[in-house]
Amino acid sequence: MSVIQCVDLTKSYGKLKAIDHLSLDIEENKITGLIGRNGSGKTTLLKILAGFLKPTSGRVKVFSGEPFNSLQVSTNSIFIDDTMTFPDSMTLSNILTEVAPFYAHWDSHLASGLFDYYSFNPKQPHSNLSKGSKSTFNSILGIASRCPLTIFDEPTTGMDSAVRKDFYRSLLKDYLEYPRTIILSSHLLSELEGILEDILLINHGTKLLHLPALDLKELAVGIRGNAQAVLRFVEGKEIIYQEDFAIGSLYVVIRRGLIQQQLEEIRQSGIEVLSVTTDELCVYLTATTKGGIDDVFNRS
Amino acid sequence: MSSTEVNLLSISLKQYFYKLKAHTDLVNRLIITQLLALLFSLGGVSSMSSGSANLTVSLRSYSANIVIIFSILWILITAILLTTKPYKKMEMPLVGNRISGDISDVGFLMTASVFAGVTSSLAGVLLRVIMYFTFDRSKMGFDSFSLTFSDLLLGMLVAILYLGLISAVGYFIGMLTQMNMAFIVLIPAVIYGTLRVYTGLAQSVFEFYVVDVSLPLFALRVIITSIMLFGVSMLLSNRMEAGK
Repeated sequence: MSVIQCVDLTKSYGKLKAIDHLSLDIEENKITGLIGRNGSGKTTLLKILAGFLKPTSGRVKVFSGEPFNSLQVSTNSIFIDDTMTFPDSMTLSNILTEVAPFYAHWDSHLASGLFDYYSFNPKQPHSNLSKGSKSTFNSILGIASRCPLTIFDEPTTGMDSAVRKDFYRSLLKDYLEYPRTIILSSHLLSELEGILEDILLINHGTKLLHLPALDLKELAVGIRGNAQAVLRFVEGKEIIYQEDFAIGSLYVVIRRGLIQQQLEEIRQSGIEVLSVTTDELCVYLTATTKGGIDDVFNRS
Repeated sequence: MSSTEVNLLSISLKQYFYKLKAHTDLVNRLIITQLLALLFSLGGVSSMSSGSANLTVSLRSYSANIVIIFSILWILITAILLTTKPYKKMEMPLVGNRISGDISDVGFLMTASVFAGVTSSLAGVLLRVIMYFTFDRSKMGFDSFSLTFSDLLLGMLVAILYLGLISAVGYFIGMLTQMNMAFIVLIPAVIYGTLRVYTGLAQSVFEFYVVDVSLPLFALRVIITSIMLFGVSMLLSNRMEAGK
């Protein structure tokens, strides 16, 4: 059963289309990673799903209802980002107890457990926290609220690597115990890979890919070697990314399906066949030019 | 995980209790404002003196009206503040929609009106007590010094009604400016312009709410106007997007 359905969804700010005819389905109880470049429309999409923004056109359904301004959707979802504000008159421990009654599945035991683990000062107001600590605190709300739809928009902003790892682990552990639909947007795909089931890649407000994370890993392959030899194999095929590796040597990323039969042959002709990490692949797929930043320097 | 059924009123009520705790700083501002007004009141609101060759009479009047006026200003500013982004953003981590947020704001403003109305009326009593113990009693005119309990209650009720009305006006103005910043300029311009063109209008509006014969009629007018203003504000807010 799909929890989220978007059909031809568009959101424009004036002339700029933040979301451009996007259609997607997200299934129940899956962890989906929303990946995209800066300004690709990730936050806008998540805010539409959370019911904060109204789509300009197209249909969006969350739990089979329109999310905008919907009490039903709000009751069953939580949106976590680093701009969440809490009143200064409340201390951190106050916030946890005051927010709890709003969420039916709230686990106060878990919340206080995580709160103590990250050794927050219970008397501190939220606005005094550092960037990383704010994200950490907000993530506690996201996990402990156990909403059927939990949305994290860049949850790890400012977190150090130890805390990030703890966050991924705690999220995964709680998810396994209480499955729910989780959407995470992040730039750190390499770190997230381990916990994501599906990956949704968007660029310029449109969907590029929506695949299980494992399939994405196998999607492309990189081949590196003598430029002429490499070109012989990839000629006429759609190249995802191309880079001059050294003089006379070329690195090309290409869909695995296109050269699956030739892989043995390629290996025998002395060309290296490399796997492409999902993180790199997403960067290549969303790049505006085929040669990446190098193009800027090679223009002369 | 199963989805939970919802009820607008119960969520608004939860938000209301959340806001009571969240907005304590606003209430602190009221207390400071009232203390300041009380301090001004101790200087007297008007003084008059006349005399002939061998007799001088000077008369100074004291009143705690400034406290009520300051409280009205406070509730106006508070109502406008509640519609602004920083305050509306505080609703985002909570369950709710625009309507539940507005209902809880109205609830908070009503509570604030009652609190401000009661305290500002009691400030009149406090002023009398301070004067009784610190001023030269032989020079005091006691005619209107003592305040009957029924008068105190009446004063409270009227103050609460005014505060409620002003909070509705403030919330409406705040909502308009949230829709479009142009209203910051437009509203004062329209008010000023209308008053210049229709000179009798201010007089009749004033008479409609202020110069009145019976308390129930006055209360009815104030309550209906407030409900209308809050209602329109909610309709406006219901179309707006949260947390852009």
